[in-house]
Amino acid sequence: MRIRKERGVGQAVANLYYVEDTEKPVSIKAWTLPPERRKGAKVIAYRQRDVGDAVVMGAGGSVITTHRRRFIDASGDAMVGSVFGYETVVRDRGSASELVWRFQTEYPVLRSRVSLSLPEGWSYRAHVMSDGKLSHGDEGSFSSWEARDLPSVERQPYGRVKQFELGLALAAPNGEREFLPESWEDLARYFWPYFSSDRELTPEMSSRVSELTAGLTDPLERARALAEFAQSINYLSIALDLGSGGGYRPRAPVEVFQSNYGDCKDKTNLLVALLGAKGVEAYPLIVNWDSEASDVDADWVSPMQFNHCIVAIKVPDAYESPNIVQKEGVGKLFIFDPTDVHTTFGDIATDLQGTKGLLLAGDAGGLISIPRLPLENCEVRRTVSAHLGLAGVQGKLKEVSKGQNAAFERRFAFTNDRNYTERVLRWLGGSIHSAQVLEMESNDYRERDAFSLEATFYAKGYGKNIRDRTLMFKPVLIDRMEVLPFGKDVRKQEVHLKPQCLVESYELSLPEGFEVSEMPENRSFEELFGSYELNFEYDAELDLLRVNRSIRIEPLLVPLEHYPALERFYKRRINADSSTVVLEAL
Amino acid sequence: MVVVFCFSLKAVEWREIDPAEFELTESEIDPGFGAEILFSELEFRQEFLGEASYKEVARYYMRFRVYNELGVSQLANWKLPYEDRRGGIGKIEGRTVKPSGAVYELSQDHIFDTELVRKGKVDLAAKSFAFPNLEPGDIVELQYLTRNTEIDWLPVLRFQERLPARRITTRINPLWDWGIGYKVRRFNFSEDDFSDIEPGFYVAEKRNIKAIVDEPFSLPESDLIPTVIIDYFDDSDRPKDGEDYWAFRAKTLHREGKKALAPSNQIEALAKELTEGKQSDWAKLAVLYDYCQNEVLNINYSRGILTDKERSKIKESNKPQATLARGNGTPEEVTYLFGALANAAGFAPRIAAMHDNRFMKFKGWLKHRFAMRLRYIAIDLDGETHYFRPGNPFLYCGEVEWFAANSGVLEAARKNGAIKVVKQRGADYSVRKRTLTGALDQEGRLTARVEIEMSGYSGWDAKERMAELEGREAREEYFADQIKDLMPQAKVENITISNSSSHKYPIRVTYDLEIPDYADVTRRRLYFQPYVFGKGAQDIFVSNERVSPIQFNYAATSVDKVSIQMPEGLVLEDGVAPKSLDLGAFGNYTVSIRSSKEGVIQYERTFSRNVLGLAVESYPAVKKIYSEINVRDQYALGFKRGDTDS
Repeated sequence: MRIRKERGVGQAVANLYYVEDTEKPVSIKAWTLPPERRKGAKVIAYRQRDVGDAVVMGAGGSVITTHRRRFIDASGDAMVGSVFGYETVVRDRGSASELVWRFQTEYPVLRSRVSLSLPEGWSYRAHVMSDGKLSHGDEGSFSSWEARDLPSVERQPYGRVKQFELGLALAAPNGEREFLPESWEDLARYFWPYFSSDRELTPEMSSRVSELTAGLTDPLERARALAEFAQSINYLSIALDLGSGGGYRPRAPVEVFQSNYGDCKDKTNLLVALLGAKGVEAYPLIVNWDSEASDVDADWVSPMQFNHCIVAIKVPDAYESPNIVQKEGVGKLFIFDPTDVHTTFGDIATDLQGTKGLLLAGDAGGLISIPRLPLENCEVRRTVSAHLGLAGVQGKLKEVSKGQNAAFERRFAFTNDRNYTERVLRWLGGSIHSAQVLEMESNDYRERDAFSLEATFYAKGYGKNIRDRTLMFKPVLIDRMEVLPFGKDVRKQEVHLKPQCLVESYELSLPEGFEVSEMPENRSFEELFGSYELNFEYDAELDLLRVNRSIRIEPLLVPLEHYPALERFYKRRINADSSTVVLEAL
Repeated sequence: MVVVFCFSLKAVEWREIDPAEFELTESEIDPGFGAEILFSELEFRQEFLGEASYKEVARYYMRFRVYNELGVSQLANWKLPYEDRRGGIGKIEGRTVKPSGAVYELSQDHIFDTELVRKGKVDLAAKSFAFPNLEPGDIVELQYLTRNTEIDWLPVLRFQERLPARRITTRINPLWDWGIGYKVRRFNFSEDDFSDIEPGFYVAEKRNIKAIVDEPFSLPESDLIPTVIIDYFDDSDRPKDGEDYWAFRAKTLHREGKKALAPSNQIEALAKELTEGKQSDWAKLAVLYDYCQNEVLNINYSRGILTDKERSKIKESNKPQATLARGNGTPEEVTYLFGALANAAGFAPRIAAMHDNRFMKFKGWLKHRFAMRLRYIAIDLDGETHYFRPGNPFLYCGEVEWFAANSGVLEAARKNGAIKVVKQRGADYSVRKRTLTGALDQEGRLTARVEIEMSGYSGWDAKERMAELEGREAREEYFADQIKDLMPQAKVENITISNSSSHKYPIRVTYDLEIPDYADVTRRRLYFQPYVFGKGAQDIFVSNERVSPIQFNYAATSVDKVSIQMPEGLVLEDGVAPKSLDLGAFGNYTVSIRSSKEGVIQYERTFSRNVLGLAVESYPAVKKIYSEINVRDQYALGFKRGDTDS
């Protein structure tokens, strides 16, 4: 790589990632060529003493992992104009039969090539992801794929990056490596045994199941009790044997139960076993939880497209709920994530809704679509009553969040109270300048999937007071949008909207001796992806201004050609949120 | 000599747990925290084994109470790092105790050893484990032992953590060896805190300790966190009996200066050449100072010029001639070269040591080599002592860094050396000036040109920050973000930054600014806030409570001038002038506004803060001052459209 700006200097690091149970780094070499302006400066060739080796810290909570990195950090020697190069060789004796080559990176790429040479009798399958321009050719024993002049991968707000990648599956004639199945159903069958063995409960586990479900007759309530227990198991990962399938194999339910910790597949496996003890069928569902990644490519049958494991619980045919997916050969399935402690039973994380997952259900497994929940499931209902005076505003806020908005509040509230209070302060302060929270109370009603917040606030000098004769203020006190959320750069990616459902009402008592001089217009506009309504009503008798605002945004994928309409919609919203009322002294 | 560690196989002993411990539902010391340290005990021994061989053993016993899910997440997963080459961690014993009395032992099979990083001489590993079956309401206990073959010559033992603690106790057994002395020093302990001497041990203990919290404008951690250090020293590097410590240090500096400031022939010749024709002493010193700043590469600020390898090959030398010949040097070498040049030019320079208050505030009783590590050159001119440090590439000639001032300075002296004080400059020295000249249109869009100039300590801080950032874009973003953080819709373009590496001139920044919807526009009116730089700013001090004293780095002034051309057709509504604020000894806040016939609004704001350090009891008053200033900064003007009815 050529370092063109100072920011690029830190990239001059050679990395060789490996899993130590099955892969062995054979060599790592690196060189730094000095910039042309440094006449006489020599090429730096790094030696063994420059090589470091470090563990790769996994996603939050890895107790132990076999994932490591060998590296040469040349950033101390690189400067603008330097060329840094490296070469790594790794020997892989694992059984994994797939590898992925990524052509595009966060930096522009002049040329990227992967070449494959196989011993006699071996075979391969290649799958290209994304519609980038790739040239392919065979030369001697090598098959090569090459891409040139690739721009950097750009991440835009609410966008998803479709990686330009090549997936290669390998098969050896002696069975040392095998192609993974070519259909999703077969792949599901392939992984099913990882989860379906060792379901026996110990007496202690059985006793706990009985205790948790005591007095519950409704199967779904029993399932809820056991599901919440699985959520309470601490999330910790022991990522061993990654090179020989350890990343896919859960720990035995009894082990997870006794240690009270496990990762997503461990908690799934435990829950499936506990539900089974109560006669409730449940299945592992492997999914991709990466909000920036594109959805599963149905044409590439590979477990590498998934990084998370949740549960699909079989429910009676008569059962109705938005959180239901029908699967042939299985029946109705209710989706639940035992790892996400803030998402209640019945709710699904926003980033999973509408995506595809691989259901592991024996012969009935396969790819399924995770349902999208109705907007009302994530409703925020807010009422604010406040008194506006010349010196400031004092009021009370009551807000009830549901679904993913409740999960969001829980995530912050369950940190220590002081942080949550400050977070609420800063949130209010974003719209009500210098807001002080006088009292605050929050309650988590998990059984109703609701989270409530009540806060009494005061802000000195809200609104613009001109000589005590004119007062100008924005009646939408809270959560005013001021800037487009999609960034300022030219839009290049389609927009994945997050769902929003806000129902909000204000009752603002106005200062005595004033009348409304200017009242903003009511606003109402709608597009395919959402609607916005804002209306004002002045009750002269009570000297009260009532404001109602409602916003609905559907979690749709907005293609690029519709971006201008989306931009217009949000600009209108920004404008509407900033509506201004002017009062004049009588 | 091979040292073999034999870790004891003795069964671990657990102390009884009072059932009342399970009754509390939150910490009484710091309510709201997810867990609490009930006690943490450390027995720390350092031992000389003979023949340059040492041993260091630390024995830990800790007990925690978990109150909620947050506490579970904080305590469930442990990594105990150790350096593999230096020693290791002995048997780790842990257990989870339930309110019911049930006990879950930590299995040795679930303790994993991971090599974290191995590179060169660094070999860092960790023992990783998770407490079994941990839930809110439980108590967890941990005991383990670490052994090292190399000892820490300045062990720092802390008595405050990120969790509240009921009791933290440390027993210290320092090593004893011929020619090595030690002193056990306590920092940030009160008289009420326990300390004692037991047979073989110094004991220090603190009770009911709140958790460490990060608060804005605080003292350095070293001045807040209760700490005990074992200060080892070479007996030969100590004053003789009866000799004052600082006089001894001054004598050492004097001896050091004899070599370090001695000019070679080449230095003599250079000094003569540079000072040729300069009339005044200051002019001579200034040209020598400029030479050291401009012509000698300061290797601490050589990113993009020298590689790490090239830097590591440079051998630090005590001789100014070597610095001159190489053309580069450490900050100290550059400073000493200046001293040698000044010496050659006929001045009488001497080394002056100052303390860096950024890591700990100076105290006269801090008689340790880690105090007073900065090096200046002291020269007397016109009956006054001036201090020079060209080793800081942004420091004006004859100025002292803010973190060295208001502290002690020790000048080299053959005898009777003593600590003097060099004062920090006042608020009128560190000035940030911002000028905005722009126009509003009918839709409320503001377009403007902004110029910023920072001098004094403010300027130095900004230049130091620029030096840390990677590349022009990062530096531009730094200034653009100051506006965008307040008004995300702002566009900041054509940014120029001048004098960012100059030691003579203030740093200057200019840019073009455009803020759509800056003014609030209704059918008949337009309102806007003249103080653009503060629109939407949140209060600095948000929390209602404060744990630590307030500390500002230096007194400073900001002067802002905003000039905005109003769109045509607008008439000023009844307005009242913005109000200044009397801040007493704290400082000064004045604002004024004028309107010209041509429709230009001119707003000026000056805020000076004179105070540096304030006791924690002052927090409510300080919070109120800043909140009040913020409210006044939101002052707005209203205009009516000329063709509308009143």
